[in-house]
Amino acid sequence: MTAAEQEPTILVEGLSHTYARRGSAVEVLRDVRLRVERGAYASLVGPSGSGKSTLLSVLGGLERPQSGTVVVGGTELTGLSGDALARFRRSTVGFVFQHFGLLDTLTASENVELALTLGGMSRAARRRRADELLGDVGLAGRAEHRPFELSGGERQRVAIARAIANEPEVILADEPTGNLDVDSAAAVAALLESLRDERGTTLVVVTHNPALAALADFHLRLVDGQLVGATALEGVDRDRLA
Amino acid sequence: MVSVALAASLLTALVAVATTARTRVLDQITHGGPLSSISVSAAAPSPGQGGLDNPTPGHAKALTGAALAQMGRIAHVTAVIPVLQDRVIVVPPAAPPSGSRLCLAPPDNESCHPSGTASPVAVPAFDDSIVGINLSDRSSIPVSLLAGTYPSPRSTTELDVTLSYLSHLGLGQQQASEIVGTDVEIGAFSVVARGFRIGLRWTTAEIVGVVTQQAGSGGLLTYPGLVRADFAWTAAGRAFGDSDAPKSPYVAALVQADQLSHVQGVRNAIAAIGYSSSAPQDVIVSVEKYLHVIEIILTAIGAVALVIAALGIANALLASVRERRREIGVMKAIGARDFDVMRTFLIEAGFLGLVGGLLGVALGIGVFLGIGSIANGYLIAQGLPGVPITLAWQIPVGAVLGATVISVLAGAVPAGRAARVAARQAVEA
Repeated sequence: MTAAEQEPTILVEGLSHTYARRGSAVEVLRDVRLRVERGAYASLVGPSGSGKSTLLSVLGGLERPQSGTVVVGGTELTGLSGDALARFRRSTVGFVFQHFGLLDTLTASENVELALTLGGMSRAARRRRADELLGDVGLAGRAEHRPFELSGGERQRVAIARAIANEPEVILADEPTGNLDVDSAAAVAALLESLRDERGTTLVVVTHNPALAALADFHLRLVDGQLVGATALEGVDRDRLA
Repeated sequence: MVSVALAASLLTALVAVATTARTRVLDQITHGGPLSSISVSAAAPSPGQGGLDNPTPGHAKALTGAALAQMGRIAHVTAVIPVLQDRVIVVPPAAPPSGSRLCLAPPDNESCHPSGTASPVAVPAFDDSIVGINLSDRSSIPVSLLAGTYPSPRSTTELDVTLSYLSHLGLGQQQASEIVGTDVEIGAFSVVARGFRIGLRWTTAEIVGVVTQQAGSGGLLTYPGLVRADFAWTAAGRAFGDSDAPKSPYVAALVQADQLSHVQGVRNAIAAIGYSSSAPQDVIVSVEKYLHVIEIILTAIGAVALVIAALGIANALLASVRERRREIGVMKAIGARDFDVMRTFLIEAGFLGLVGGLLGVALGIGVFLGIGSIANGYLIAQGLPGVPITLAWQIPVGAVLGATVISVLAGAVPAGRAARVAARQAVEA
């Protein structure tokens, strides 16, 4: 194992985050410390308003950390420029949203290709890669369908194919089964688990779905902007994943 | 997009109509010749009238080849086109062309009643002049075609006739096309023996077209070859004491300056060589000023419509940005930079402008052709030559480009606003 591989994929130290709401400052994250090893599957749970989405946004480079240190995939996010954050989001993380986040005017294949386009891949290579990814998520025959022609589960699988298009080290999922029926949720949960098992992708999943949370190696619980519970500090030993 | 299309069509139609009207008005002033054309007479300049558009010429003075060559060397002169002329007797054809209702022979001619419907027209021979000019560069000479075509280059057996020829035959302009294809006999005068014995050199030529021309004064127009031959015949009379026979075949010349502002300088140089000239430069400058104002007003109306349409695009795109905040957030979440988002909206605005512009230009050309057709119908009914319904390529290209550029500019504010949408919108929505 190289030194780089020994580094945790996600390392957060002393992260605090404040929003201004109606003239007053609201501290949504307070001195968060977190360490997630390479290839781990962490579930992030907590009541509404506890700061889950904000933590996910900071880890994914959607927002700049206001304080502390945040390192994801070897990139220190504090102080990155807008374009550098965009490059980080393109190459290091993949997002899966509860609302799927697919563009209605594009086909399933074009939605996947969009992530590759931003990565600068050629048209023919994009097409090949999108077909391959849709095949991997079991949607080989649905490449030319638009989102409204797909079921919820199929849309989420397209979104997952898009999230892994640029082979990110980390997948950040925000309630990925929140809009799905039980069967579709199970299929999506299995797909996410396979990403960790087959690709070694690190997963951080915000979920209220007990079945999805149960697949995680450990649970991170946010209460009033603070991570609570021993697992939040210790992360998971890579040997447990073997 | 509809508003852009309508605005672009309005702009295209207005500019096209304004340009065509301008061409028509200037064409009337220059008789179809270029704006910077100078007409040189076979006469000395009249003292003190150098600055006038159309001064009274001085005493007659032969226009020689050497003088024309000298004019060709004046600074800013791009061409010198000599005009030749000879007096001739014209004998209209004895038989009408096949299928024509015209009957040009005397009534007692049996061939004069081909259909029995037309009244015979008796046309005696008449005096006229034949004008020779190089018709190859027709944009440089004051000649407009009314019917038929121009003679073949360097032909000595084809000619065009003017409306004066038609009036000799008792015909109107509406019947111009019926004279095309008939033959005419031309007899050049000459004194052939002492005691002023006149001889005529006859040539038969085919009338291939009907024109209006201001190059010289004569009812017949052709390339110089035929006129040169007739002139040589006439000039030979000087050997038999005909002192009135012309010394030079050139009765005038058209001198072309490279631009309107150089016309007066060229005219001064021509006067220095010793010849009188005229050019409608003052009238053209005045008329152009007024026409330019009209063009500006019409273009401004179209441009204002385009700007209003562009504001519509801006408004629609702003609404689109509001509705697509989550989509923009998702694009950023998968790696789009602010610039990528801005470019997407600018391309969208440009696409709307381009498609709207193309549709509008197509509609505008249709409107322009419709107006042109109605105007031509009126002019021809009045016995006037029609307006050429041609559209300079710059007008539709400019309208499409203008619509696209204005739309892109209008999209700048919404695009900037889209670029500033926080990536976090992807999670929050």
